[in-house]
Amino acid sequence: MPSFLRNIENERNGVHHASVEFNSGHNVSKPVKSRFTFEFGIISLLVVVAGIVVVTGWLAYERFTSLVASVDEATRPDMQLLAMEKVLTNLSEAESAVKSYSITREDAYFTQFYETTVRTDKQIESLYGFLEADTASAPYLDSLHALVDEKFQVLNDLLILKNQYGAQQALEKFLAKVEQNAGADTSRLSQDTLITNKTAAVDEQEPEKKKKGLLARMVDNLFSKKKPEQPQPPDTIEQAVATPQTDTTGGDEQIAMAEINKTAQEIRRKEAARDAWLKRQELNLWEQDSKVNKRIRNLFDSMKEEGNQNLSAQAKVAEAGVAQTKQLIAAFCIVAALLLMIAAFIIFAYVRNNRRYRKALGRAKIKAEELANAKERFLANMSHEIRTPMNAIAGFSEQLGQSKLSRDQREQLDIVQKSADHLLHIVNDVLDLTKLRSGRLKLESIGFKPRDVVNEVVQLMLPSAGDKEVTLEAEVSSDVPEVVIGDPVRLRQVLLNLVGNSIKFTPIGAVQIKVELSRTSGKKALLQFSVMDTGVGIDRTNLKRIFEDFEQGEISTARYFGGTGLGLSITRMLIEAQNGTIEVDSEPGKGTTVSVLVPYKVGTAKDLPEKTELARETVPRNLKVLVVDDEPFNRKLLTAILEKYGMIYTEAGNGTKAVELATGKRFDIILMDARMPEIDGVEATRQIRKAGVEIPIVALTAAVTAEDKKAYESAGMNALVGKPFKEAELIRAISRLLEKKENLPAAPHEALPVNQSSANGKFDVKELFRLSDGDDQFFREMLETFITSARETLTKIQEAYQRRQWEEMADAAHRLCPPSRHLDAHDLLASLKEIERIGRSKKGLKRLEELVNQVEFETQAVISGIMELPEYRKQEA
Amino acid sequence: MGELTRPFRIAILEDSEFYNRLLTRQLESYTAAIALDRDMIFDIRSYLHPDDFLINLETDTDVAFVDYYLGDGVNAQQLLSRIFQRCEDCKVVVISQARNVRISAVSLSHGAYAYIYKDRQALPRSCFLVEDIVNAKLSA
Repeated sequence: MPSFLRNIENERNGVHHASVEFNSGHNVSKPVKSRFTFEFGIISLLVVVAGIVVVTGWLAYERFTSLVASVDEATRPDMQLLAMEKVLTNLSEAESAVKSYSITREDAYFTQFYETTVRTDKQIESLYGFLEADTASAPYLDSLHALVDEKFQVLNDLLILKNQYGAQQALEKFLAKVEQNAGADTSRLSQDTLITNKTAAVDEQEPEKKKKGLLARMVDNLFSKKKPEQPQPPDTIEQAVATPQTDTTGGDEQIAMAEINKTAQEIRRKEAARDAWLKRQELNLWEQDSKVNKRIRNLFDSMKEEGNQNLSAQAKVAEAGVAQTKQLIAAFCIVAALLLMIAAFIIFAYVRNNRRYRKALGRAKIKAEELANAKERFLANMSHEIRTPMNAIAGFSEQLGQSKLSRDQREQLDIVQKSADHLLHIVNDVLDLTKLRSGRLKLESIGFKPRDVVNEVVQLMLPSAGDKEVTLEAEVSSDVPEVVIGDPVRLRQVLLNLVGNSIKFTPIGAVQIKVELSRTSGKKALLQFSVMDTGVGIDRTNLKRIFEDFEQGEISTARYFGGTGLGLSITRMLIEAQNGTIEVDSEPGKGTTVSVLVPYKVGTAKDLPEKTELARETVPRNLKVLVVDDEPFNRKLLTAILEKYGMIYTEAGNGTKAVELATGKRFDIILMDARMPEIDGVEATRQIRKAGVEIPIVALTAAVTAEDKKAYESAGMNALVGKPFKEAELIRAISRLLEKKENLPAAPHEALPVNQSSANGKFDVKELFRLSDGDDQFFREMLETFITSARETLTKIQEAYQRRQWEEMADAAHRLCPPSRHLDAHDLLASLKEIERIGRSKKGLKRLEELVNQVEFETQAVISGIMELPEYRKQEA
Repeated sequence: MGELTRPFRIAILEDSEFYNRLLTRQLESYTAAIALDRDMIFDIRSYLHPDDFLINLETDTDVAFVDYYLGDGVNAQQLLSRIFQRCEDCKVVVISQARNVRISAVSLSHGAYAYIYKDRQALPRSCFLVEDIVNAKLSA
């Protein structure tokens, strides 16, 4: 199909012409098939599944992380409780310290108590630190803090109490001492001394601020001058000793002592009351302490219980979370599994369909290949089947053409030859079309002269043009390169086709071939070949179609002008195969111009192939040739040609016989048909080569495809001559092969020149000359013998005729036949054979007289002709 | 392969002098090459008349080429028995212009080794036939 239509203004007369330009081969539009549906679906499905998996994984991760955290938290030791345990321990220690102090009055326990209070204080601070993460425990901590404070206050009170008690005991001791030392000078006792032993009233602990350290508070209370508003213990020693004292001597001493004793008694009484009070206070404090302990314990238990409950709740939450997670994961897994199953099903179905389609495609491909191969085989077979009989037609036509024919016979033979050529042309066209379509056409790349090709075309087409009133001219521009590199055969084919068409469609007028250099760049040249005619032209509407297969423009064209319609189609494909373009300008009634542009590489004379034209005479004589062909008429054609060249041949009708003969006898060359039943030419060649026979083998065959040529070569065949072949082609092939062969049969003598083989055309001594094998003496003797025999035979025939001795006459005629045959004295031979036939059968005796006269005439003609031969005259000389 | 210690004998009976000489010449040329190849000696004798032929026929003649129509009403068929009487193992090749199946069949049935039609290829066929017989004898 043309890729686009272009209008070109014609310079001739301003009429609009249509032109068609072809730049490429076929435009095939392939339907676009959406392929995304399946892939998109599958990908979407897989994305969804992946998303589900990711979400599930993430959720699971989150849940399990929280679960692990919960478990971790649950298994982690409760620092709060631990701290609380420590607090309780410290409280216990403090209590123990107080008790120990109260027993031993050792300061170490006192110190221990206060150290315990410091530690407890810190632990409570740390508890508050934990509170930041657990606000639910805040009330507990506050309560604990208060209870701890209370306890320490109680213990502190106990300590103070014990201190007081200690002071009392110290006072008791003092008093005892005083009493002991009643007589002692107590005057020296001063208030100061007493005061120094004073005990401080222990203030009741004021409700303290939580934030103030317990120790600090207790120290404050201990050394505070501020007296608490609490029930005051009884009069203090100060008060007791606040009584002014007189310092007297003598009798006053006893009074003083009595006063002192009285005072001491009073003090003792008050102290006993105080002591009782202290004990009661201590008891109260211990009871209070016990209560505080209980409350602390309860608080601790509550906190523990709450911790356990929290833990339990956390565990439940975790369990619930796990369960939920499990359900979620299960749900997601089920969904994902379902989706995956769906995806797998879809993929499986797709793969199954895909495999089915692939198998179907494979089968279709195999079928298509088989069809293509079958088509090729069919064409090859058809080509072979057509070419084989055509070989006989063309070959024997050629042979007949070389014999003497009447004018009518020559005209008829000419028609036969032209028809055979035409039929062969059509077969070649069909094969070319097939090769071009399948891309199997191989183009040559050899040097050639464009001028020679054009001249050949002109020479070939001149007769056709001459048959009509059409002049044919060619003009090659001077700037066209002398030598280019390309395929001259195909160029010739294109030009022949175009010129042939122009002549065909030009009833009267002119056809011109013009070659110009369109463009050149470096070593490349773009040549333009234009074929112009003044013919019938082509209608614009038909211009597009003429390059299609089997199209000829008008339907009537085929009827009127004939042709298959393949020529231009093949021409177009050939041009395109050479990367060229073709343009057509045409106007109905005025003519057509076809322009072909073909790029070539510019060559030199060195690129031209060597000419290997060999004359007929250079073929060695007495060649022993084995002719192998299953078709008798093919063998007949070959032997007819070989006889002319003086070759000695043996025939074989099949490959088996060919192998037997070739391995058993000596031949100089084998002409082998490729296609034969049973063992074909290729197999026969293989077997011959295997047997060590190295003589040249020429494939003579109508099967000339590329595959065939490869097969011939690989089997060991040396050359190929395609059927139908011209005599010259066959002889050329044989000559070329034998030129390469080392031990050629000697041909010391030149062949007899054609003009010396027959003086009057009544005979031909070439055969005899060949059989003489260069022996001139023998040759002349044979001529002499013939003359003698011929004269004798003529006499015997005449005498026998006279005597009506028909058998005798037949015998005589019979005797001269072989010599006549070997001298190609056909007329004489025909007459002799007729006489023999009549003499033997005794039928047609009436013709004998005429025949006898004819024999006489012919015999004399042959004899006189022989006597005029230079070779014969040498003898005479 | 074996050897022939004696000459390979060929006898030709052809009443046409022209053809007689031609056939003889052809066989001489061809067998000369075989003789060189196989280190043999060929003895070729030609006769125009049946009587001469029969008298001079060697008992160890290997091949005899006999024209069918020999004149005077004599034909090769009639000679076959006499040839075999003289030479049992002789391979008789009948050559004739007549493309007559009956003649060829009868000749062959009377003991002829081969029948060659006297066309342009008769001469080379005769040569090949001799080579075949030589090969057969040497391989025996």
